[in-house]
Amino acid sequence: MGATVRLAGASFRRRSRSQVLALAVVCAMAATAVVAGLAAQTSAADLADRAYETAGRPDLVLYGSEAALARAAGDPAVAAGGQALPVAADLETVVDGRPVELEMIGVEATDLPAVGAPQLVDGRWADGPDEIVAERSLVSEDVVEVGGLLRVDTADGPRDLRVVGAAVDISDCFWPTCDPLRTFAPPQTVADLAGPDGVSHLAAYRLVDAEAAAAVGGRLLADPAVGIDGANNWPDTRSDILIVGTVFSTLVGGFGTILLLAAAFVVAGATAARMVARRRSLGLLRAVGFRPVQLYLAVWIEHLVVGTIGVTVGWLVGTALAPAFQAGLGDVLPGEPTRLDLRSLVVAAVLVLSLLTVSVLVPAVRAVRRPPTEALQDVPPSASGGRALAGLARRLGAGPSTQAGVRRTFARPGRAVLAGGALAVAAAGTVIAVGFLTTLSDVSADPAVTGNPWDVAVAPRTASAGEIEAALTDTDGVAAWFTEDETAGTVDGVGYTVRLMGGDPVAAGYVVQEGRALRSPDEAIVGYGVLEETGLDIGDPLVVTVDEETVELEIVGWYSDTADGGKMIQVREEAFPATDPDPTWRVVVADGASADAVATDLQARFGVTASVEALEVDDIAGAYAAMVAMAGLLLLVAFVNLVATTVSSTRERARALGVLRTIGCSTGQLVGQSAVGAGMLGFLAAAVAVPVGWWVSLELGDALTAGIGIGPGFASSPPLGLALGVVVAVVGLAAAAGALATVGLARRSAAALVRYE
Amino acid sequence: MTITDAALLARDVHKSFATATRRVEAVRGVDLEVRAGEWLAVMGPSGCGKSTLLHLLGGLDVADRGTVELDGIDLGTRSESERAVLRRSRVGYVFQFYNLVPDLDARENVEIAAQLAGAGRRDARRRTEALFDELGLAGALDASVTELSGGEQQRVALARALVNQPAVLLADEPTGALDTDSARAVLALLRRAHDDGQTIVMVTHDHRVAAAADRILVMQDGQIRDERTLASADGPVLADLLPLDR
Amino acid sequence: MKFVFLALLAPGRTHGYELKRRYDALFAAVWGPVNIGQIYVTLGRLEKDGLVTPEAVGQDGRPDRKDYELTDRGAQALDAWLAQSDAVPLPKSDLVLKLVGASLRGTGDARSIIGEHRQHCFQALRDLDTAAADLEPDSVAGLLAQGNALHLQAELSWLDHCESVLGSGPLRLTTDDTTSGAVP
Repeated sequence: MGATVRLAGASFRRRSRSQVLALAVVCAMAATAVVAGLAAQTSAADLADRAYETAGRPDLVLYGSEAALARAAGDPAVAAGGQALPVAADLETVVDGRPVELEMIGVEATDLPAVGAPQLVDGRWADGPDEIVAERSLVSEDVVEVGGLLRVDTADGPRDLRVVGAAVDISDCFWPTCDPLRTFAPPQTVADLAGPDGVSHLAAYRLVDAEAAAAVGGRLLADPAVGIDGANNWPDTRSDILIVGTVFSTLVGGFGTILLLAAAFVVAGATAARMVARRRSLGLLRAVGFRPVQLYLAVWIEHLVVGTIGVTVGWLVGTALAPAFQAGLGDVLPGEPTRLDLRSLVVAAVLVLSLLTVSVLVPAVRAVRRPPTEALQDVPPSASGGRALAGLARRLGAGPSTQAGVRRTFARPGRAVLAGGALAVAAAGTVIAVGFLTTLSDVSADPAVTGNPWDVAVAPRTASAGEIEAALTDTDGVAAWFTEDETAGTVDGVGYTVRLMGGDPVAAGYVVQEGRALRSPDEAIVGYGVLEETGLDIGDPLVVTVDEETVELEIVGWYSDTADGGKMIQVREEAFPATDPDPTWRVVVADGASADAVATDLQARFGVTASVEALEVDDIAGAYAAMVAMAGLLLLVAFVNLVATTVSSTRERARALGVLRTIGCSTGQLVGQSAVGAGMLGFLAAAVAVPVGWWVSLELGDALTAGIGIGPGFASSPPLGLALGVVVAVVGLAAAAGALATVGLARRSAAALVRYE
Repeated sequence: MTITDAALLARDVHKSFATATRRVEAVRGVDLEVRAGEWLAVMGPSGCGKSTLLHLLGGLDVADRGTVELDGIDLGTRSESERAVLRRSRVGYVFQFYNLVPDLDARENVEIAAQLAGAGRRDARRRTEALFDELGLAGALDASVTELSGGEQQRVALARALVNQPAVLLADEPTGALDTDSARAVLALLRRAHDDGQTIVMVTHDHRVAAAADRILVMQDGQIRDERTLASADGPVLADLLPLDR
Repeated sequence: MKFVFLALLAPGRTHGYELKRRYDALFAAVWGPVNIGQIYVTLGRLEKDGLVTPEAVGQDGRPDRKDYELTDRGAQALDAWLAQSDAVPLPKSDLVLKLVGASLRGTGDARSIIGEHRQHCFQALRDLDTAAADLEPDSVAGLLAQGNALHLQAELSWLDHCESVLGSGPLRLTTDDTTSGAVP
């Protein structure tokens, strides 16, 4: 063992610094990717789950009268909770110049509920009648600031209340995904400010079986004996909170894998080249009495030391970067500052070092297993590949000089595969990045895909339907409108949000993936989440209960909606004649018109009789930058690797080049030959990688869209031009690498080349 | 069946190789015995199988047919691992080219061989330094391989081969790549080792080098064609060997 | 040999014992010290040929010493000899004749004749190297030893060549009418 370790140590000391650094960097990058991926996956969810635990595990939040909530508390499915809090729901405030709904929940600082209490994270609880605490997302979205004032419009007129604290509340998802704005105040203040509808109540419950939250909520909602008005369950709220996190984790997870693959190829290629250079040493060591196992061990130890250092550095970097991957939730949900998590180090170490081991041992085993008698004779391993490709080049009209270059690149098929493999992974990664980005931008650019195929919403306060429609008809830039009323419904005891549609929603363009749009009142279209959960399909009957009214509808299509993870049901409002609709008008602006301009127009027209809001489109510039950076990094790694592996096969190439020099090839020709050969390798790599990358990006895109509730089938293909661009770029990069690797040698004289040692 | 003072024994040894295009029979039925302390030279044209025979004698390769016994141990019955272990302490190899691991410096090349055979680090160091002194290499201990001349490298290789006091020293064209002076120095060292009792089997194409040995085998086409035993010189005087045409 | 003596006188005239000293310094290692009588005999012959000339040198209280000196003719003769080109060493080979003889006679095969000769050459080479171990390479003896060793090596190389060409049987003769009598 001592001799083996000594051999490893001595070989390690002799390695060039740049080689060691390159290996360490590759391992560090791979480890960073793993750690960041883990952070993306778990971090946001961790924060959300931590908030859940801190709040006492509120699996279900119910809305209704105190009596109803008390009855629900007695349900056998309920394990704890049920303390009713008064709620004033009819309040309003103005955000960015437009009126928005505001909800005030009564909490007594000295009597916080055991389950589902808001968690104070800043400031203090409200004391007097002029103080409130804002939900945390209001602060992070700059709606209010702690210490500032909030003007609340009550039935009795506006009241200025001081925001004395911020609290995290998970009874529903956060602003602006979920409205209304939530605030907390002493119960007296709530009673005082409540409008003509009076005070309603909400309570949070911990269930015996947390998984059954949706079912229990639906059952209680549907049970007239209990009398609940509304229900939110934690699984739905959680998925709403984590949408962005899902996007990120798919992204980083996908890239982490690609980076690991690229790293594997790079390491394997570098090791293979080094093993070939060392083959005589290995033969000699075997002659002296080293057993193959000892040699594998020595090579492994040598690389493992570097790899471990790289992994540790990568872990530190990844941990430092982890907050960036918390997908913005770190601003809202309370979380501990990043601490060094040994678990992610272990996972990163296991993944990266296993990959390193395989990448190192496979070429090492091949090299060591050669009979020592052969290795000592300096018979280079067979370099007879490339004939077919050179023949192809000839048939394409290439001259003998070019054919020689092609032959030289592919002389060692194994090595060509490894270098090409790294290139291919980089190319595929680039295509995937582009495809993913395309999907992401298409999805976010087209709100129809996320279930909001409208540009401006008009929520009436005191305006009548007629007034609103008159105003809409009159306003320039309005192309069409429909009405929508969201209410709670149940199917088979499970709660779903039901949208009652009025007017002509077909004008809006909900993106119906399969089937067709709603037409008649005995039809329904559903989000993908409904199909998944109920197991139903298009054409099946769907029995929906809203407000004690049960109707059988036919599912005629499924459409794309990210709300509630796609668990939405759309029906015509006529399907439930007993329900009093409380619609919001959804307005589609004409092509070329600005939604903001139309919204401003309408708001001005309505004044305080209605609230007008233009739909905001998510900005994914950050994601763009990240993906472009990652793709660029991959390509750089593959380029450097190609140069390095080409340069490391220097000795045989030097001799080959020397011979060509003697027969009259110029420097330009030699460089050109290498460029063509490498370019061909790049072309082959891209030819394999682009279709694979294309397919992967579609699959990844589908996984993403299904994950956020839109449903599969929305993944956008990367634009063809871009895919071809990737091919061209890879070929160009490879050719440049080949040329670069040869330039130094090609300039020497023939004599020097032939003597090259 | 073993003659106890035979360091090496080969009986009807055959070995052939398959290359991409044909099958080559390198050794076709060789019998030989090397007594302990004997110096045997093997000569012959290139391709006659002498290097292959040497590899078989040292356990670096296995015969297709026949037996090879090294220090009384039948190499044919040993696995690759076992033969590797045998090579550490019972065989010392010196080659024509590429004798040293360039990754290690001169001292390490030798000490690692000692450690491989089980010596502790200090013991290996001591033995290496002693050998370097004996072989006139004292200044080269920490030199890297590339800093050494061909002759110095070969002497370091000799040190490595001898550090574990092997039963047999196998040398394949030890002076083949050296200039006259270095060759002479290496030959002198071989003579000295032989005087100290080292058994040597040496392949060479240089008659003068072969003439230093006790016995000379001439191989052709995989078989031994001629065998000549030489007597130690103490009779003839220079004048008899350099007749002057007066 | 007479030219060696002329050359020994070239640095300047000297007497017999000095000549012996000069000779021994150069050649004793190889051929043993020279007999003083031999020197005087050779000097006498050279004097008769007019190549050297004696001269008496008086010594205090001792008989006259006889010094010898190169004459002009002697110097010319020496220079002529120095300028002469040497014969190229093409040894005549009894071995080939023996091989022919053996095959005609029908006894012994080529291989054993060659083997025997090889044994002698190897032994001579070994003995030469042993005996010449302490010679300075730049001495007469050293040069001669190296020369002969190389010749022996050449002979041994030639023997290898003969062997590979002749195979394992009798010598293959070049004219037809002698093959009819060949015995396998």
